[in-house]
Amino acid sequence: MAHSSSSKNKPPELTPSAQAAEAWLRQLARTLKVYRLYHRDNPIVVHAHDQVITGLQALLGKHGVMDFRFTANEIRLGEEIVVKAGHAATDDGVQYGALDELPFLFYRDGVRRVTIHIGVSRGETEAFFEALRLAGGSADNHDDLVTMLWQANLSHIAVESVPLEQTIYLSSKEGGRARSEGPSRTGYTYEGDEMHAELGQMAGVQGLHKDTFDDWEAPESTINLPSTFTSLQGAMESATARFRTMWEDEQDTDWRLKAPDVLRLMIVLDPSEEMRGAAAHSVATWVADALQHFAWDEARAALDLLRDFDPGYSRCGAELSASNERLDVPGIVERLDEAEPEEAGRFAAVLTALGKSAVNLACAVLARSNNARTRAAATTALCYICADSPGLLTPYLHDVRAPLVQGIAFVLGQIGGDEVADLLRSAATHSDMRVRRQVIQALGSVPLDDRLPILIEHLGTDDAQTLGTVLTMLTRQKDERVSRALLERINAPNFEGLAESVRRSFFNAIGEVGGDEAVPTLDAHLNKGGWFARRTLERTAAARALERIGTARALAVLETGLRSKSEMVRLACMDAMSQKGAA
Amino acid sequence: MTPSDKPARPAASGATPGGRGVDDRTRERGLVIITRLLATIRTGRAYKVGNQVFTRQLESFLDAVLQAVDEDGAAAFVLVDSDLYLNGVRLPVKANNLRFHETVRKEFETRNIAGFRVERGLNLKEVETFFELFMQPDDFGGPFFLEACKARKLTRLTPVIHASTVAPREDEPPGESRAGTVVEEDSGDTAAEEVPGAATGLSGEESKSGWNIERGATKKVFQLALQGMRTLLQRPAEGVQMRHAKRVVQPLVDGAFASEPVVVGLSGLTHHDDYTYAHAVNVALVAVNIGQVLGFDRRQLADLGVAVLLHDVGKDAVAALIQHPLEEFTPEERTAAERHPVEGAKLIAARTALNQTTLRTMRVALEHHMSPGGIGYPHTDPPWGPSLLSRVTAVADCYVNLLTYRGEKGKNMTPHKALSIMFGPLQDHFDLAVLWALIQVVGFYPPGQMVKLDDDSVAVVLANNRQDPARPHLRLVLHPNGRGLKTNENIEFHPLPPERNIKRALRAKEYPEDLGGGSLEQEQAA
Repeated sequence: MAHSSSSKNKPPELTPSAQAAEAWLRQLARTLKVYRLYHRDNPIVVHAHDQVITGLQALLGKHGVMDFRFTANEIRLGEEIVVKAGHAATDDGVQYGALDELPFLFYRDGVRRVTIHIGVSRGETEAFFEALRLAGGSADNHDDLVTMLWQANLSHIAVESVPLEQTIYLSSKEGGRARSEGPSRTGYTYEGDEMHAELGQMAGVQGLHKDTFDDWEAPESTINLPSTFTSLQGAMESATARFRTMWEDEQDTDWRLKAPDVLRLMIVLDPSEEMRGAAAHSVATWVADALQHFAWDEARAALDLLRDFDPGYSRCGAELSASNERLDVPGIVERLDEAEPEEAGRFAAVLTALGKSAVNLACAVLARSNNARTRAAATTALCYICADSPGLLTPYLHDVRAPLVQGIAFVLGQIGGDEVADLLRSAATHSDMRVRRQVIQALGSVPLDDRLPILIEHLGTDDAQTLGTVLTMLTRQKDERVSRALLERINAPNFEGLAESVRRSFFNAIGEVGGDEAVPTLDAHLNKGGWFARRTLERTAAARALERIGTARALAVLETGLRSKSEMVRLACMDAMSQKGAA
Repeated sequence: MTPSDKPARPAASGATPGGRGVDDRTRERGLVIITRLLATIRTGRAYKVGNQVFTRQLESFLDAVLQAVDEDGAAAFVLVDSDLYLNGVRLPVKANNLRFHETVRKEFETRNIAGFRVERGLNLKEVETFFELFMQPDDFGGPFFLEACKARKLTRLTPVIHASTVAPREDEPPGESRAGTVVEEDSGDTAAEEVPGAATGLSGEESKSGWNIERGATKKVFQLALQGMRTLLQRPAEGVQMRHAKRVVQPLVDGAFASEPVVVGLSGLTHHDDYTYAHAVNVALVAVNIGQVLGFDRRQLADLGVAVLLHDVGKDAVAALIQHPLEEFTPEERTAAERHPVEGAKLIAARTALNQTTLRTMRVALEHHMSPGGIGYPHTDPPWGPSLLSRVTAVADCYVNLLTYRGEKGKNMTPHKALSIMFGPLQDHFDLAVLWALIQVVGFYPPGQMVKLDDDSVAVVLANNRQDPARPHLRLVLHPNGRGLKTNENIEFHPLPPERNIKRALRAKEYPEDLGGGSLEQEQAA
């Protein structure tokens, strides 16, 4: 970024007016970003908005007319480049900062030049910013920037744009109108941007608008127009006044309130499956649009209507999913992360109403957000959506994005039951430790028989925190399988190589769940070393485990130990027995 | 217009948010061509033609361009200013493909070409020949590149030369001297007779007094809208790109605010297919002007224009069921015809994204044959009534339909007669406010109408006079004695002065055939 990222790249020869323009554009870019993040009545937005308007007035007052030209990555003031988007390639493509996005915002929709004249009113400036706000808010806007600026009917801000499409004339062949003499015979143009050639339009394509019949009767009888007009003058005047009043009322009515009536009428007039499909599609697009504009309540209202036409989303479930795929997830996450807590709740509600088609969206949010509220909204929705079919989450279990799978594991834990066991087992193989920890926690809501094998598989984990959780869960109740697994681990050749705290955890655990079957192993660890036994944590832990097991056989080992020739064994047994006494 | 001047048709309609349209496909293909072209160039720097590695790239490039050719019969991939276009459709520049666009631009600029064009039947051998030259930018650039292609009999893949530096010749025929007017030329030698009634609303030519200097602009605006309309609706299986529709109507709205005369029949249609598009544009033109009279602002007029452009899209669904003209409809045909509003609304619902504009468009399609009084179709129970945009559309649609009537009655139709029918037997179908506005727009004697003046001279109406609809702007075509005007004789009234009056509007069969200098035909041709 030559100008926006660092001042060291700023060409020193930039004139004062260009420097001022660059500063104002920077302010504009920041304001547009603020627009995107916060509600319009947020004080931050109001302040930024006022500042950029004041800044423009000051700019024009000091430096006169601002004539900006746009390319995809530059904004020029006259011949000077005042903004040049610099970008660093990443795996995801190219990332832009706020000012870096500005040239492209104009360029994308075809704006090539904007001239702001002195005397531009505040109202006109606001209309200009409003168009930029809408254009910058979403790529899926109903209108492009050119149309919005056109609608704003600006008088002091002149906009030049290229059309959405061009009639391009080509001439690269002899014949036709190509000149038979001179150097230009191979091609020419008159206005510099159009070329001529033989590439013809397709003939005979009629298309969508096949109008083959008249639809208004043409009676033979007529009237004397001027006299009839005169006779109707009074009626027409009152009709015109009424029309204008009705027009104002119609303008004041939110189209969203009228849309259900219109669509329902269409179905009354044509109750065919095709019409229902059309209506369902129409509402599905409304849902998508509302989501894109963060209008969660509106999306819910649209979904309520959609269920009228398509009760299980059987007609447009796939379309809803597809349109959710196209949503600007980073924008949604950015918005939710900055929003008030209630907004996250509304988002969760709309996701839930969307049902299965929202799974991917919720997962995308989970993958991207680190904000607890936002993540909670997504996971809550997933809990409701997937409660009856947790298998919907299967595709995400091996996603490389740990925050996503972590969230999925949490959701599976909330759903619980034997249905999620296999899914959790699958997630438990994830390479990221955070995911595995979450899986272990989630296993708490899985039936014992289903969770034990998975937990036992994790006894070999290297992560102390995970192991701690695993052992805690395994020791909730006595179970021979657990005891066996623990003993197996304690008897493994590499057990000695484990950290001291880990080994102690294993002994504690076997103390909790073990029975007589554990006694020989513990006995061996207690008396390990014979005459030359030293005082070790392992010995102490084994003694304490025997004490916790508390069976006659276990206590017999301890009593024998009290009489041992090895002082360290005796001390360990005394320590364990004193624990018993304390208890 | 010679065959070589036909415009590269902008690829047809866009897509709904829920689907993909031709524009979308063209854009995707264009982006593929960009990447394949760049890969080919990269490979071409390392390998020579004939090398297997390079050949594979060339095959890949060939495959990409032929897909574009399959869609449109030919493909033009060109750089205009800083934008790349494939068959007239601007290829989107996104953050992640910006570098590719810029590289292509530089490659073209290095060779001093604007791009290339491809025709059906292109084969690998020709692609090899082309790239053999393309990879030698120092030797083959600009016209030399093209000459070299020709010398090698390369006709189906040729460079496009951006010869903006070459000035037009002095002896260039006026009609051919501006690229921007070529579309107008299309209509210059109008085949209006192919479309019954299309010429009845003819317009006047530019006046020496200069009052009508906007007329040329009006015609161009109309042609642009017609072209946009064609693009918008060309593919039945595709969606309707509302953003595009809005751009189409903007010049019409601007025209309404500039008080340009509303002249139905400007189209100068080149073939019958254009009728369908011209009808929509004509109705939009009239409706937007009515809306402007009724106080709509620009945004509202744009919405109105978009809705009107699509008001009759439902006709396509029932067209196959209708074989007779309106007067001879069988009951089944009448039922089918009366279903077109519902079909239109269904089509719009199915192929657009729901928002304020499309909801209005749906309503206009559904309601433009309903009347405030409850007559018309489809029948709805009270209190449902047509929206105000639908009422405006109904009036504009009926007016244009009568003017361009395709049945036998069309032969006797004049603009004045159309108004008389609407204020007479059809009056109950319309909102009086909209009828009033229509008169403000076109007057009692709309442009193209021939009238007899109080001294028995005959004049053609050039434009309405909003201050007095009974006194339009006129040009004399016959003297009181029935003699036509001499070729260089030009008598106009701007507007008709108070001391003169229109005696009556001429009926169609009274229209003089011989106007001395054949000026009526000239008028019509204009």
